[in-house]
Amino acid sequence: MTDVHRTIDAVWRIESAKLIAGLARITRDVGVAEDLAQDALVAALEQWPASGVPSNPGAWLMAIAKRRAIDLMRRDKMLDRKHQELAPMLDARSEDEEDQVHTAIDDHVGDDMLRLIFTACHPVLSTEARVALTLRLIGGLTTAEIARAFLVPEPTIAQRIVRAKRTLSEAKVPYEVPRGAELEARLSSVLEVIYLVFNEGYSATSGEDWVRPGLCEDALRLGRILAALAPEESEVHGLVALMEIQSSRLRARVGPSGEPVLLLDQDRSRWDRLLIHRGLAALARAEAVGGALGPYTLQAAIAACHARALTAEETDWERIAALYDALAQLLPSPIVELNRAVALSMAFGPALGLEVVDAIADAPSLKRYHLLPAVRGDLLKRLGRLDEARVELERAASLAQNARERELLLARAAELGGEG
Amino acid sequence: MRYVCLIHIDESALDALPLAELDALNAGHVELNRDLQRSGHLIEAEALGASADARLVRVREGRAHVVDGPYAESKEVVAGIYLVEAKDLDEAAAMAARMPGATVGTVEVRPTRRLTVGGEVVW
Repeated sequence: MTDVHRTIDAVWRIESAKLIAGLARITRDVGVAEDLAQDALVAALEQWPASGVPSNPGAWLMAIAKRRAIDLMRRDKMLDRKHQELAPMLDARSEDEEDQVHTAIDDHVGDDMLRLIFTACHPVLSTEARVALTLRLIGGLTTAEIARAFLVPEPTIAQRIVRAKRTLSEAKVPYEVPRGAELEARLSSVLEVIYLVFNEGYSATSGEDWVRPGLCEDALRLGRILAALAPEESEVHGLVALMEIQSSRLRARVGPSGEPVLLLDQDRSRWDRLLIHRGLAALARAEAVGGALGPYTLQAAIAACHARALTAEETDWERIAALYDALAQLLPSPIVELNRAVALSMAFGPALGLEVVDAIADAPSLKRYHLLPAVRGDLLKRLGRLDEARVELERAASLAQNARERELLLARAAELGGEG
Repeated sequence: MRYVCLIHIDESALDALPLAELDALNAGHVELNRDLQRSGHLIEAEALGASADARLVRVREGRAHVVDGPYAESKEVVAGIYLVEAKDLDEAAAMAARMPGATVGTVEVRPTRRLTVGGEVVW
C-alpha cells in the first residue's frame, strides 16, 4: 500500500460515518447513502494519488458525494413518488436550490449521526445484522475487517450487510431518532450492540485468542460517539464507564503465553490508569444525570469497586454484593445471580455463595454455561470439598468453548490432585 | 493505540497573524475536535499558553531548581497537544493532517509507550 492509500484508509475511518449520516438525510435510505459515500471514496482513490490529499479531505468527499446525490435524484424519478416531502429539493435546478441541499446536510451533523446509529441498530434487524451494520456504517470498518474480527468468512459478512440494508429499505424504517417511550427501548438495543462488540473483543467466545483488543477499541469508540451525541442519557455514560474500566485490564488479562489471568490474580500495576480514570469520570457523569441507576451503570459501579482497590484484598466485596443485589432486582437473570453468589462468598464466606449457586443450578439457560460449574468448583474447593470441586472444574472445562479458557480450567482441576 | 500530536508553532508568527486568521485557525481546531469526538478518536485536546509563562523544573541532587521559561531558544514551541486513539501511525497522521496548526507550524505525531520497571509493564 502506498502512503496515499494508507491516508485514504485513515480518512475513511474518521469521516465515513459523518458522510453516510448526512447523505442518508437527503436520500432517506442508508443503503443508497453508503453507495454514494463509497463512490466518493472511489473518486478519492482515483484522484488523490495524482493530486495529493486535499487539506480538508472530509469536505472533499462530502462535496463529491453531494454532487452525485443531486445527480441521482434528478435522474431517479422514483424518489419523487417515494419522498413527496423532498420534491422541492429533488427539482433543484438553480444554484440556490442546490445550496439548500448542501445546507440540509451541513446542519445537525450530530442529529444525523444519532439517526444513523438508531437505524443501524433497528429492531427489524437481527442482532448479528445490527452488529455488522453498526461496525460498517458508524465504525468505518471494512467488510474484511469485520469478518476477521468475528472469525467468519468475508462473503458471510458482505451478505449480512447487503441483506440488512435491503431489510431497512423494504421495511421503510424512518431515518429518525425515536422519541418518548420508544426511545428507551431503542436506546437499549443500541447499547446492546455496542456492548456485544466489546464483549466479543474482551472475552472471545470462540477461536484461539482469549482477547481481541481491536474490537474493544472499536466498541469504545462507538460508545464515545454515542456519549458525545446523547450526553443526557445516563446509561450511555454507564456503558462507556463499564467498557473503559474493563478495557483497563486488557493487558493484565493475558499471561505471557496467551493464557487468561482471572481478575483476582491479575497484576494490578498492569492496569491502564488512564482508562480507569476515564471510566470513573464517565461513571460520575452517569450518576450525575440522576434517577435510578440502570444496568450498565450498576455494572460499571461494580467494575469501579475493583478498579479502586489497589490489591485484590482491598476489594469492597460487601458493596459489590449490594450492587449485585440491585442489579438482580433490575435484571433478574441466572448469570447475575451467579456473580452475586461470588460476591457474597467473598464478603461473607463460601457457604453462602454455594447456597445461591445451588438455587440456580437447574436454570435451563445455564445448562451449557461453563462458568456455573467453574464457580461451583471454586466454592467447593474453598469449603475443602476437593473431590467434588475437581469434578465441577473438569465439567467446566468440557463446556468451555475458548481453547485458552479450557486449558486454564483443566490446570485448576489438576491442582486439586486425586484421581483424574 | 494512543498517540500524542504535538503542534509546534513559531509563537511570533502566531502573534503576527491578523485576528481574522487566528479566529479561523481556532475555529478550525474546534471543528476538528468535534469531528474527532464524533468519530470517537479524541481523548484529550488542549491549547497551550505562552511559553514565556512557563516554569522549568529540574531536580538535581535532591533539590528542585525552578526557573522561568521558555525551555529553549528555538522559535518553535509546543502550542497545543492532542491525545488520540488510532489504529496505527497512519491514522494518527491523517488526523494531524487535519489540524489547522499544521498549516502554520509542524505537527509531531508520536506513539505513547508503556513504562517498564525490571521488564514488567507498570504504566
